[in-house]
Amino acid sequence: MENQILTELSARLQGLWYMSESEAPLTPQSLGNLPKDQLDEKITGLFTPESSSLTLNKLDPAVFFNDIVAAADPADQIIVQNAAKFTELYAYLKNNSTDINVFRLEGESNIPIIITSLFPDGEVIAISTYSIET
Amino acid sequence: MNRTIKQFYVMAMLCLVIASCKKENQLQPADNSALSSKSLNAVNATGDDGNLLLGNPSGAGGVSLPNNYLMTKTYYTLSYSRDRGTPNWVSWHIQASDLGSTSRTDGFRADTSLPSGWYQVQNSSYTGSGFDRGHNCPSGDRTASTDSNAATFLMTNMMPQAPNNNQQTWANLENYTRSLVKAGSEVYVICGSYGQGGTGSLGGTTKTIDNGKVTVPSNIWKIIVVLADGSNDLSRITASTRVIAVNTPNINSINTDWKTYRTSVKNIETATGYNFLSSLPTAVQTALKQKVDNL
Repeated sequence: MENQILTELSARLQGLWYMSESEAPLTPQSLGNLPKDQLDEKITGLFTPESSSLTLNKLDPAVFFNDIVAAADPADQIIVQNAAKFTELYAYLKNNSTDINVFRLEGESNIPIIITSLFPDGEVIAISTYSIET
Repeated sequence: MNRTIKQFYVMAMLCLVIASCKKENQLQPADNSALSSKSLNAVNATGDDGNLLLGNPSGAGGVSLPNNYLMTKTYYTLSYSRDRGTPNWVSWHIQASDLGSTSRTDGFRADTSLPSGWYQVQNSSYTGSGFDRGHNCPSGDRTASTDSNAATFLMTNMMPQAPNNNQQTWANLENYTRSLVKAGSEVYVICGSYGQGGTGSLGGTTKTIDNGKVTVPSNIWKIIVVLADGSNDLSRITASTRVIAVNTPNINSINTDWKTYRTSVKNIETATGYNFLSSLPTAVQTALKQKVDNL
């Protein structure tokens, strides 16, 4: 089951980029059967680079995905199509999983962004990317 | 005879009209801001606190100068190069009221205010290039309103910047500049780039991106004039005013400490051919241009 989810997600994330001052791929990974109250700590531990002190911020997933679409220049078809894939990703997550969360680890120019969701078998999947913000 | 005089008079008037139109075209800043809101400090670009108070370094002008095209926007002023697809320089002013709590808008977009027929660099023009969309006027310097922040994401404010230059060295300098403002200073900043060929995350030397439409600069520079917050700024700038001039190579192996790259304004003038701080008295200009910051 785990492989199926990751395989399917990997295919969906192929060619998808998180656009900021740079562009970053999105990578799925399994966090296993993680209790909900351990999620924040797990995310902070996994995605905070060594010798960094970052602050974990939780975003409203609907706002996060909507902002990607809203920020896309309508005259730039490549960016518009990329944003549309984020909408598809959000729809897929809502249809196939629950408890969707979006985290940002803020404090440096490179900001890890992690989307998590809980699949029916109890497995938490994290999709990680980053934003460059100077 | 009368007819000849009349003809001469008409011709002379025509010449005067044509000349004045040309002059207006060259000297009248193009009010091509895509945004309508006015910031407190940028209503008049050349007035006190104006983005162009310290002068027009390259004599940028109208559409007849496609590679030195003056764009007077509400939140910064720039000289744009059509053929390079980047600004030559961007000039702006920062005071405490420019720094607020507005979130980044992240709306990188083409600048539709460019003259008709000019190529408009897109957000996706930089995709996969190995170079960041490097702000000249940073997002973080315009956080007082959504409009002011959104203005910094126009692609006419961007240059292809090596990731470590943008994310480390330049970011550190930008943060330091804002820390001066937060501590009670106001600053005038001019940032630009020149040359061709940089090294991004893909390695090697890249001369252009976007199928040759955007030139990758070899150097990125910045000049910062620091004053205690106040008014009548031109009269308060003296030979002892702090000026920070930095010239960095556009490479990914750059030192993260911007202080390593401090230089004099004169050296940047030599490299670019521009004339900085031209609004200041000659003696003050001369003194400031020789200085190399060491604080």
